[in-house]
Parts: sequence; structure tokens; C-alpha cells
Amino acid sequence: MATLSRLGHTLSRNRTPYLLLLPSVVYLVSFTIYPILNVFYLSLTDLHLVKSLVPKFIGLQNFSDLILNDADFRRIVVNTFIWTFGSTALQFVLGLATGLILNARLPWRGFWRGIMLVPWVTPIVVVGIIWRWIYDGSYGLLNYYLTTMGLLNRYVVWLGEDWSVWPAILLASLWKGYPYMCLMLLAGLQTIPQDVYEAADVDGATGFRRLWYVTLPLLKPVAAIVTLVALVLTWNNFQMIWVLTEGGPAYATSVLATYVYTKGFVFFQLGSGSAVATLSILVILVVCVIYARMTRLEEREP
Amino acid sequence: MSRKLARRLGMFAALALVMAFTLSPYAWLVVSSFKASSEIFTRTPNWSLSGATLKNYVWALGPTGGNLGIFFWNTILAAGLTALITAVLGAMGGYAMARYAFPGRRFLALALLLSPMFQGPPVMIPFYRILTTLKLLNTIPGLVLVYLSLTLPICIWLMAGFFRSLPVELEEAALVDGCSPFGAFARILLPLTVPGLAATSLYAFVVAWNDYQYALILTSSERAKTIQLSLSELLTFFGQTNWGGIMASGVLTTLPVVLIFMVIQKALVQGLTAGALKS
Repeated sequence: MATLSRLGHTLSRNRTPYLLLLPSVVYLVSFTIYPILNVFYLSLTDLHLVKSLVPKFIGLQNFSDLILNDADFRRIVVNTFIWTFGSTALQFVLGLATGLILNARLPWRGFWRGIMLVPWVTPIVVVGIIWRWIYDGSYGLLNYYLTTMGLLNRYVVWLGEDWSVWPAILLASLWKGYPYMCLMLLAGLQTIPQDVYEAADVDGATGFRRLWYVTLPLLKPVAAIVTLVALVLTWNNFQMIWVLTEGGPAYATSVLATYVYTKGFVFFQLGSGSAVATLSILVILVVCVIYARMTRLEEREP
Repeated sequence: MSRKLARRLGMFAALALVMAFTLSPYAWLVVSSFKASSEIFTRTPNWSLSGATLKNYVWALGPTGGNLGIFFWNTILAAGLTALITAVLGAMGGYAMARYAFPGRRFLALALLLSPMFQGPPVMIPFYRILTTLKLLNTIPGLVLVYLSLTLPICIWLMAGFFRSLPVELEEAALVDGCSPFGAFARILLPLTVPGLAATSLYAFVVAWNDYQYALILTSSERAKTIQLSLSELLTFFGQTNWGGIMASGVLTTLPVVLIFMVIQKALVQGLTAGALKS
């Protein structure tokens, strides 16, 4: 009774914010929290789009099938790590380099900063169209320019050969993703006060030394957050790979995110697809915690 | 002096390289969209615009070709409704988050921040199930319901930032003058955040417009199929024959978001980066 009246008191005293937030909270509970709980539950069922429309509880069988009986699953997990860390690292390096350029005094700086972001707003399907054409085995731009420059002596189907397909995807992902990384790092760079640089100048630190000993340490907190966000978003990024290769050839470029779709909507195995999604969520959570720990530990160093 | 000059030249060269990497794939898309297919399927890429034609654009929109009109309309509806609802809920939620201290506020802020972690494949199957149950599969309202999960958290966050940048004294004065808390929000503060609100809802429009993955699993016919999905199907059907038409369709699909982005860029960038630096 006492708790109830206290609850009533809290509600009435904070009526305005609660009323303002009520529709959003109701929505988020039904369309963000419920789906996550639902996918955990469905992973324990045999739900199938054709064969088993009413989910039947089957315990951990989907998981044991994936881990013990699925010959492709190990490769897909490894791919997920290559994709996530490869893509994030490349985007970080180019994003940082571009951020440093666009933070310097340049004519038309605002214009370049805006233009740089164009790939970021380009629809993913259009990104797929552009890069599939660049990588085309007969008419592609990449083949033409590499052979003309003498770097290649035959035409390559970039998205079709085992050795070239990952570099090709990572390059396209770099193009699409580096602008956002750059935008955030640039914001971080702008918070570094000018007198820090002036002090470094007085101490004789210029060029690369200034970057290494002054800029990067001060940028670390922003960099840690931005890369963490990029890791998570890349982990769940089904679209980039799907528009380029659909996870192929065979399962060569499948990651957990594409495998959820393949299982669920190509093979109609919604239960098994949910198990892939569940594993994917759990693993990225662990990766996040480890990454956050590591970056915070580094901060404590003198 | 000469060392400084060399550094500056190096900087320009680096800028030119990055911009070439960023823009040349794009330039190729635009150039090809104005070319006959016979000129695209050549071993030697031709960047000149001589012999430019609008035939590809006619094909993209015409009933005998891509027939994209209906899908553009579907997408405008879905993205427009998403933007509208996001604007209303985002303004309300953002205001509450910016101006009130209440039990649960920190938890909610964290939940909003973390929700992008669970977008896309992790929730695809539940979304499909929910819309099946609601009988909203392959409908525009169904798409809007799902798109809000992409736009609402970030837009509440953005709006909170815009409200925070306004001085509290504004509402205090209004309250002293006998305004209700809601009146102070609706009549005093909201008009001042119109630029921020416009940027936020246009951003929601762009996010919904650019969606591919949810349309892929949730729509199946002209009734609700979006432009991104029909574009990807054009690629499947005509990828070997009509590249020019596909490139033109790609340009048409991209143009609205690039234009919107140019308009909102300043406010959006400010809002997004402020959030990242604070968290």
C-alpha cells in the first residue's frame, strides 16, 4: 500500500515528463525491447515459414545444430570478425587522416566537409550498383585501370574470387563508412584547444611527433566511443554485404548478420535464424564489454 | 618558409586524393546514367558526356521500363509519415529529456543510446512476426511502424540537444506569467526549435528513404514496395542488359536524399556530433 501510494506520488509529481514520453516509451517497449526478447524465445523453437507456423519449443536444438552440425557456421563466425574489425579499422584510419586534413586551414573547408559526407547519405542499394560496376569482371573500371597501369595482367571478377572478394567488400565499405567516422573525429579534433598546439610548437614538436604525442592522446576518448559504435553497427550491417555479394560465393562472405536473413527468409527457418540472431547479439555484447574495458584501461595510463 | 609551403602542398595533394576517392565512383554513376548502354558496355571507360541522352531516365520512370513512379510514391508516403510521427514524438520526448529530472531518466537515456545496437538482422524475424500478427505485412503503415524504431531514439536524442541549447529562463518567465507547463513547451519553446525540428524530421525522412533491409522482408508487391527494393530488383532483372537505365534509376533514388542533406547538413552535423562528444 505504502509503495503504491509512493508510486502514485512519483507519477503525479512528474506528470508532465511522463505524459510527454509515454507514447515513445510504449512504442520502444513494443518495437525494440519486445523484439529482442521475442528473438531469444523464438531461438528455442522450430518456427518455420512453411512447415511449422506455430512455434514448438525444442530447447537448445537450434544452437547445437548450428555449432555441431553446420559445416559453414565456423567460417561465418570468423568472417564476422574479419568484416567487423577490418571495416572499422580501415574506416578509422581514413576517417582520421581526412579529419586531420579537413581540420587544417584550407580554402573552401566547409564545402569539402559537406561534400565528403555524400557517400554516407547515399542509399545502400545505389552503393551496391556503383561498386558492382567498378568490380565487374568484363567492363569494370578497376580491371581497366589496374591493367592499364600494368598492375594486373588479367581481368578479375573481383566479387567472385575467394582471394579478392573480402578486400573488394572492405574497400566499398570504407568508401561508404569513412565519412561518418571522419565527421565524429573531426568534431573531436575541433575540441582540442589551439594553445595545446602552440605549447607543442614551443617544445619543438611538429608534424608526425605532434600528431603522435599531442593530437592522438587527446583524441582518444572520442576515438574509443566512435570506434565502439562503428564496431556494433558493422557487426549488424547486413545491407552492405547483401547488395554486393548476398554472402557468396557459397558462404565465402556470409557473416552472422547475413546468415540470419539467409536462414530466416531464404530457407524459411525462422527458429534457426533466431538462434543465429541470438548468438550474434550475445557475442557482440561480450565484444563490446571487452572493448570498453580495454579502452578505459588505456586511459588510466599516465 | 619553403618547408611550410611543402607541407601545405602536401595537404592539398592529400585533399585531392581523398576527394577523388570519394567522388569519382559517384561521377561515374552520373556520367553513365546519361549514356546509351552500347557506350557503357565497352572495354575502355569513357568519361566524356558527348552523346548524352535522357533515354535512361525515361526508361527508369516509364511504364515499359523501370516503372519507378509508384515505388517513389510508396516511399514518399512511408518516409513522410515516419518523419511526421518522429517529429511529434521526438519533440515531446526530447523536451522531457532535456528539461525534467524524473525517476527513470538515466535508464531511458541509456536505452535510447543503446537501441541502435539491435537494429537490422537481430530483430528482423520478430518484426516479420509482429506485422504478420497485426495483418500489416506489405502495407505502408506496417513499414512506418518498423521505421520508427530506426528514427525515434536518435531523434529524441537530437531534439533533447536542441532544447538544451535554449535558455531555461524562457519557460520560467512563461510559468510566472501563468502559462501551464505544456503551454510553455508548445507556445514558447517549440517555435524556437523549428529549425532543429525540421532538420530532425528531414533526417528521419532520409533514414526511412534509405532503408533496404526492412522493405526486403516486409513488402512484396506494388502496394507497399519501396524504391530501394524495386531498384535492387531492377539490378537483378536488367543487370546484364540495361546498365544505363539502372544507373539513371540510382541517380533518381539518390537525388532527393542528397538535396535534403545539403539543406539540413549544418544543423544535423551539429546535433549528431554534440551527442557523440557528450556521451
